Amino acid sequence: MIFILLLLTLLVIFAGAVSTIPFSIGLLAITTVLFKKSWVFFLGLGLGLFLDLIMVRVLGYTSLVFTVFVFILFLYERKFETRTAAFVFISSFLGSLIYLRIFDYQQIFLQALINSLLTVLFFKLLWLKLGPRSEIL
Amino acid sequence: MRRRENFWPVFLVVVFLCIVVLALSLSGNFKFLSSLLEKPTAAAQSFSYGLLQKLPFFSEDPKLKNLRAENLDLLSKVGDFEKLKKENAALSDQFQTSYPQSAQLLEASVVGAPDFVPGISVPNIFILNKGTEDNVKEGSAVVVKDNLVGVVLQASTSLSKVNLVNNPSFSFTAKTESGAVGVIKNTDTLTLDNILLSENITVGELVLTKGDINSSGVGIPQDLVVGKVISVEKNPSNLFQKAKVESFVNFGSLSTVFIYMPNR
Repeated sequence: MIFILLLLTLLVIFAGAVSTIPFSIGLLAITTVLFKKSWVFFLGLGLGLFLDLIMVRVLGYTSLVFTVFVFILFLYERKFETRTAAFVFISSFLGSLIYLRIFDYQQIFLQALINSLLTVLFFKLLWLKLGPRSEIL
Repeated sequence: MRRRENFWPVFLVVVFLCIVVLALSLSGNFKFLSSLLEKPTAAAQSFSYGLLQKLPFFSEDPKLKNLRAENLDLLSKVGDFEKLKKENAALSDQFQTSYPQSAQLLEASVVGAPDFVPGISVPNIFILNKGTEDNVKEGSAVVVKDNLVGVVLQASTSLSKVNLVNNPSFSFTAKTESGAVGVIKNTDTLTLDNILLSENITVGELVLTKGDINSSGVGIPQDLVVGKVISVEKNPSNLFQKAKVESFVNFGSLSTVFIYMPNR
């Protein structure tokens, strides 16, 4: 599982260098929903700092956005079931949309849609691999 | 049943860390660390961008690439020729050099094209591997041959962000070969707007930069090629006419560009 996560993180890093599609939002949504552990905040912090460095932005800005995004997912998770494809799709779509709007990118709907579809695909693959009764979860 | 983890303390710690990093970064006290971190991240970015360029789906056919390079060369010669015609004969005999002079150019590699959806859109921002430590200044023109690619928007210690000509947020004054002056904007396509109705523009004419250099010598030099006119929209009831312009640069396949530094 850790191996898959590492691989996903590396993919996000490489994709982040050549595209504005916010794969990081998708990765954060998947990890928050599947693991429900607070280390996801640190993952958001690290990914945010990396993106700030490669996009020549003010350091800490993206991390703050990611941290707030994970926080909202955690708040929602307290009241409702979040391990569903619908939740992952909507959360990653809205998260991407807000992220792309904040950083003033082009074609935000298309990018958010591509990102949320890929996120659901990866979520389904991981969910199938791990199953709802997995010890790791 | 597993106990629910209390995420509040971690959330507060991470938010605090983000705010500290943000404050330090804004106040400029983080330059040393960010320049240290930029090296490995730029290497990862450069590697992934290089990998993307090699993919058969994204990379350009070598034959087409050669033709484009040849086309740029020829256009560069046409531009030089037009310039020579206008210049004083004695001066042009004395300074028969290509423009801009290579001594004024700093070579930089494209390490990222963040605002880029592969297969859907063309990049309109580049990240270059040269920064303030190489004396790159915000506002400097970025060229390839004598074609304008963009302008440095932001520069960190070892990276810089370039606003490309086709970026909607970028506009500058330009002129046609016949001398009609207008403003280059990007709505859906590159457009030379705000041209007086009395001006005569013909399809196929080259569009050149008018020049916008500040007192420190930083900016866009004049007579760089922006593109060629592909259509003219002239309506007598309008105040101005406009022309659609096509750039000769294929932004998606660029891997090396040059930063114009007149004070080198």
